[in-house]
Amino acid sequence: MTETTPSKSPVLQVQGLRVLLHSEGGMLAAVNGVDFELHAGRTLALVGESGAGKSLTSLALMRLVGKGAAGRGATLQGQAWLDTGSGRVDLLALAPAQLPALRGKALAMIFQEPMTSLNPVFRVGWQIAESLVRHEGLSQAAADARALELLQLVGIPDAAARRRAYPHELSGGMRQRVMIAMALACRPRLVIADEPTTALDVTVQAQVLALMRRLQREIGMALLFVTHDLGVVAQMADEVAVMYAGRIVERAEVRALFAAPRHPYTAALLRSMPGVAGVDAGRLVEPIPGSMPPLTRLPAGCAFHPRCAFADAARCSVEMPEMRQLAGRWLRCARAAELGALR
Amino acid sequence: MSAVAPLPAMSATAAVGDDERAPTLRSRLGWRRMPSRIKGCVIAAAVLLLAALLAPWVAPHDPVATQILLKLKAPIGLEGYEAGYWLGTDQLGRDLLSRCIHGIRVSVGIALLGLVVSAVVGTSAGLVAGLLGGWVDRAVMMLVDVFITVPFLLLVLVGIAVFGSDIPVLVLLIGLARWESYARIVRGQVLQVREMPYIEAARALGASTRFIALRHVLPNIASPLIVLLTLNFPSILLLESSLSFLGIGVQPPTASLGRMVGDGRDHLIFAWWVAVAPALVIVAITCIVQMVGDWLRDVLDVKVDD
Amino acid sequence: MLKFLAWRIGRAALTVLLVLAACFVAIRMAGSPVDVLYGESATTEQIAELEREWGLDQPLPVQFVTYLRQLARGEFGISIVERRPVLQVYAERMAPTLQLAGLALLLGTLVGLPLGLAAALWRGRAAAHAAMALTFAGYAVPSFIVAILLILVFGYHLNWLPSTGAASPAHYVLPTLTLALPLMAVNARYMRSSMLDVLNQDYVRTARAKGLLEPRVVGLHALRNAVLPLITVLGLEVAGLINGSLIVETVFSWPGVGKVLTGSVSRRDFPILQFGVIAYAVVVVGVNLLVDLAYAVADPRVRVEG
Repeated sequence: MTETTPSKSPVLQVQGLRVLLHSEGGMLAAVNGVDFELHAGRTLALVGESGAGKSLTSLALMRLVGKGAAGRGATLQGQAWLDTGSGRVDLLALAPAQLPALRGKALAMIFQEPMTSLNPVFRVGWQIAESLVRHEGLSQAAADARALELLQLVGIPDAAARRRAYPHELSGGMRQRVMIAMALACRPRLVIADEPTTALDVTVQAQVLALMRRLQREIGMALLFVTHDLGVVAQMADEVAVMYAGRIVERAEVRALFAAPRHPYTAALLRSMPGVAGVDAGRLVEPIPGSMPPLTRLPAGCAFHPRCAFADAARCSVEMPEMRQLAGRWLRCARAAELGALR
Repeated sequence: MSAVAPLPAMSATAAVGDDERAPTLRSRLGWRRMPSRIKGCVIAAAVLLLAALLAPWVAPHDPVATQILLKLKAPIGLEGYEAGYWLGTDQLGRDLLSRCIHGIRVSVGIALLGLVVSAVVGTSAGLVAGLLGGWVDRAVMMLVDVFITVPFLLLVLVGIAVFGSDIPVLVLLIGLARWESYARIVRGQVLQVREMPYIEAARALGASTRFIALRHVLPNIASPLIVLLTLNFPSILLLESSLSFLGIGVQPPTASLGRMVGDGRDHLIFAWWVAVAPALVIVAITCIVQMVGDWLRDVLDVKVDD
Repeated sequence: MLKFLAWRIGRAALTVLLVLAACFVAIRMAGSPVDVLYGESATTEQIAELEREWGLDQPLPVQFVTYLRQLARGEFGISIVERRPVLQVYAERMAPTLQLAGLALLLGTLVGLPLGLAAALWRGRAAAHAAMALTFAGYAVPSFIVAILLILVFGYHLNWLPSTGAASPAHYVLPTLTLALPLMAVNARYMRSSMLDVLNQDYVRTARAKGLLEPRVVGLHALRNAVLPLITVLGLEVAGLINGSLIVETVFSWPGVGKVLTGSVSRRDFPILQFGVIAYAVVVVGVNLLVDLAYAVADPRVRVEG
């Protein structure tokens, strides 16, 4: 598979990211060694079942894991290099006091539940303007004007009136547009979207996704898109990283992945979903037997092997395979070379 | 080289999430899982209750016997102590320890009776309001509104002025305290249950309103009711104590803890124990019940208005 | 919004009406109303005259209306004990009561709210636990006992502060403290629990994700939401203040309204009792109404539902 060779360095480079959660039994690695790169203007989709660790990965980059401002209860390891436009910083190594300057400015996040993610007692226009006042030093009037432009940019009808609305007066789709406007206010280099359309109706979902795609082309930011829906991946992503039990098992260009998945889990995922782009019509949907193991009860060796159609007991239950490059993509499978394309 | 092997049968080794057995409600209420401070409270409460029940046999002296010659004797360890009167004596020479023990009996007795009356009245009102609906419901809710808004003490004052301070009267008046808290919860539960589809089915099968109330509503209100009882008990006890303290509750010579504190107020300078001893008993009882109530509320995971 | 207002005012008026009805019934149960309200201050002819005026041969509902009209005219009767018009008695003693209540409210809020906030922000630290344990005491220990203990320690043993009357600023200290303690406790507890709730909300996480500094996140985004439930607590607090002031004024011989009111019960001074109950009820209902309005203004979500 061909890759678009990056001509400049990546906006985000993640190496060995681990998120360790404190629990009664000790430390659990909810995210266990994640590596990827993301370039400007590109979208990387992080896919997986619930509990695979994709949300935690995104929260870790924003340093919002754990309770309180200081992230009690979680430990982060690894490196996450962000190109802020004026240099590179390791997001995971920053002191807590250095984080507020970056958040909302160099990197921004769009959350899953727009109703609870917006403050119910402040008007939406004000909430957008707040970022501008904070990071760009605008006056309230200038920030309000800019907020109005942003509301129009994200396609909110009658923006002039709507900006004085409270979150509960808007529909789900509109609230999410407000969240997008808020995230993009200061033109961040990296935007992380954590399942932004999961809580929305299907039709609204399509609109919001189209909006995000358009905005990305206009503004040119790097977009990390977390989702469990392969259909969304097909619409949005340039690259895909499939996660399972805290690790990435396959990372590839989106068309290549859909046309010819090479990891048994990816293949099984595609077969378990109806009507995914590139999959032939008329076949039966096949759910994957069993469910993803909880962190406390991971099997020895490859985490997927108990559910894997191609597992080789001898190799797969002994040790966790490494991520290796093969045929233009990254794979974590002991049998990858022999299995080839799984379609 | 594309080896597409057939999918294996449902694997038994598929690691299905099997969480540890979640603690059941009954086990959480069990002795072993109780935090030690709660265990302490329960033991203390048991001791106090026992002392109160067996008061006539446990109390060293007659709580009502006045012995002017022995008045205002100090408790053990202080100057002026009179042997045999461990907590000292009051202004009429009555043994403080005995009066305290009998006082627990009187105060806690009235409070418990009042609690029961309150719970029964409130629960019935809630059931009636929820089941009958219509104007009955509205009338009950209006009354609830009044009792929530107006400070209950005021209403009790009026009641005592009209009916006097006999113990049965006090029990009835105090028994109206917080009835609205039970009524609201029970009514809410009834309304919830009424909407359930299985009630329609039950009615279709011929179940009477009363049966439905007993079979479906009551089990659901057990938890919040228990928590309410423990939360309301201190309020009722304090209501009785306050009334007695002000002189309009239990009348002498019956020993009521509140009255004892009130009488002791005049002797604070030279015989502070007369007021402090019963005061400490009141505090002990309310703290114990409060703590157990808070713990119960956490364990039963109930959202109850305080 | 107007509909909301009208509804609330209607309910408030109804509550006051029910209280008036209760007083109406109570007075009649205590004997002939004229006798009860004017008995000892009127001659036999005057009594006969009043009885005619009151229409005591009329059916009860008509009597009730007459009663309401009399109240509206300000005819509250003559105090049996002081042999003066009731309004006069109350007017004289209004100021000390209001001063005490006002100071206590201020103290309870200014100390309680920051305490609760700090306990929420420094959750888990020893200081937070200690603070909450102290509030438990303010909550569980009844006012009259707090008063007694304060008098004992600061009044007698340390001899710092006076404990009777209201002659000097120093006299205000102990009564205010006693009255404010339960308020501090309630405020601290509610503030802490509300704040902890809010800090867990998604919008606080969003505020941090926007790069806002922590003081702004907590002090503006979180706090603005956390104080909302506390507005409703204010209504409860006023009721508590009334209860408390009755006791505090009695213990400290405070020359206020509460002392007169509690005294009137045992002496069956119905005119005084009636006015006090009605006045307090009106105050509480009024405050609750204001609180409801304030809440509607403060929480934009409520306005829409009306």
